[in-house]
Amino acid sequence: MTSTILRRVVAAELRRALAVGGARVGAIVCLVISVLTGVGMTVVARTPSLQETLNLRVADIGGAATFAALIVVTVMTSNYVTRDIEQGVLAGAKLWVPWTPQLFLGRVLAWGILTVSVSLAPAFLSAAIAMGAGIPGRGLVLDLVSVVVAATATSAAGLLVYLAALILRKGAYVVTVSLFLLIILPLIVAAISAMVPPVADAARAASAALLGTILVQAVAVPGSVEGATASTFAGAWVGLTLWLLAAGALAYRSFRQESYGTR
Amino acid sequence: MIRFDNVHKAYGEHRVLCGLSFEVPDGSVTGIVGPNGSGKTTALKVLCGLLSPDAGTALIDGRAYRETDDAGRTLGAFLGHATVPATMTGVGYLNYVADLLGARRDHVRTYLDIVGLSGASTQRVGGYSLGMRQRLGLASALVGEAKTLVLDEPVNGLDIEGVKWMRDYLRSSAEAGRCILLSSHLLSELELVADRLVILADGVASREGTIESLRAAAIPGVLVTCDDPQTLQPSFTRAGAETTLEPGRVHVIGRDVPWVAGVVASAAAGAHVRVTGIVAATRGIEDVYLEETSHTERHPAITEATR
Repeated sequence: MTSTILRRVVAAELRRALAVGGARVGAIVCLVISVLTGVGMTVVARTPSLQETLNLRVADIGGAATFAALIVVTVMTSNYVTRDIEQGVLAGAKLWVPWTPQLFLGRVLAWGILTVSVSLAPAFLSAAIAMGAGIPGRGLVLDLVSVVVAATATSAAGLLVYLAALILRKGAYVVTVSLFLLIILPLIVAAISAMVPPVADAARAASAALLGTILVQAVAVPGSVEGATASTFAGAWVGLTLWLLAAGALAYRSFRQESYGTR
Repeated sequence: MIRFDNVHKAYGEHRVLCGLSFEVPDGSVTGIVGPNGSGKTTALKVLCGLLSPDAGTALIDGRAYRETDDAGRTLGAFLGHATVPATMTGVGYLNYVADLLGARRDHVRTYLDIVGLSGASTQRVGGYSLGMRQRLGLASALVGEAKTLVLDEPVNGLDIEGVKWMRDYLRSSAEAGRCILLSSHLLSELELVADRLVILADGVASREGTIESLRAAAIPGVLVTCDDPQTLQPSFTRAGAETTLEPGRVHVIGRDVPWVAGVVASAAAGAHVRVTGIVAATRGIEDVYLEETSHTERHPAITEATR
């Protein structure tokens, strides 16, 4: 019964996300970004001097599209989840699916599938356009791996935003906390490391556990990015998984509360 | 069949349900009524698995809703238009509900027709009137084709035609064997649609029964208006009736008009009392309700609406 309910929830949430009033706009924006990125890079590619100056590769283009998608995914996720709570969608879902673990897991899985698709599509599309335009790569396999890894990291970040939104429940809080964790906190730690030498080692160690740092390392495929090693890459993915598990546990703790999602 | 058995529920220190027990038989419409904050919505939420009772059980056909194998077939519920999202279209919303329940999507069009929303099905719910949202909410409760229906204030915001439609629909559903529990603050509306009534006061079912039995209980006797009630009263007492004195009249409890008229005919003349009226004390169920709930706090500081 558990798997039937889980499949049912995943399917229902995916279909809702793609229906009017779902996450269609975000998905379309991601596709537009991918086309624009690919076309933009094609223009650059046809200007050899600019190409040499910028040192562009196929993976870079896929990565650029993916990170553009990350911003869209963050905003889209934050809006979607908080709107679900405010408009009573979650209250209704809890009524029709009275099994909290399956409902929670189904919703998270559906969003994971959606963010993977939304991230992969722009990455592949813009990479394909770039390849067609003759922008040089480092081999087809490595380029494809880089694109897939960047897209997967983006969807993981999207999933983290989703879980944060379930915990925080307010769009403004979600965006603030996401920005703080992804950008501001790593900058603060880096500044401390540079300005206060006695704590530099501790700051560097702390920095390794920060989400912003982990995400940057998680997209640096060894052999594709200078200085990227297999251990840093693997460590980053372990770290990202731990962040997801921790956020998932906290989100589930909130989600299972009786009054959660009801007004 | 729905069965509440000694259900207790408190929000912190605020006790809302204090041993609620009643049954809703199959093939009937049962209305639950009570003052604001009396626990109606809490009781429905406990039944629908949205709240866990602190003690006691609320069962549908012998099982808690959370323990059923097929939620959609077991219970169709609508707990207020606040759960109908404004950004979705009517048909999109019902499709979503059908998907979650594992119901067939082709039923969705049927139920949109039934609730009269076919023409507006592709509009966003945000553009719907309150009545249209109510209709859509009802459709969401019906789409799983459950045997048991639970509806919280279903006629809120409906126009006269909508109320009539809702009433007819609920009646015919009950006649088809469905078990229907609905709450309303409109006692008059419940009297028209329900077979049975449960009056909720102080977190318990202070009174319950069929509409007929409550109506019977609500006609307690006869009012005799006269110029000297104190002189007339002993005549009824001697004849074996219980009476109370009210300003300008005697209230003869538990007797009908012919019996009282007979006593008046034989006693009033000898007592030199001028009787100006003999009428049945035709109180309604509303009076029974007010009696049952008169000692409860009408507007408690913490109401369910704020939760």
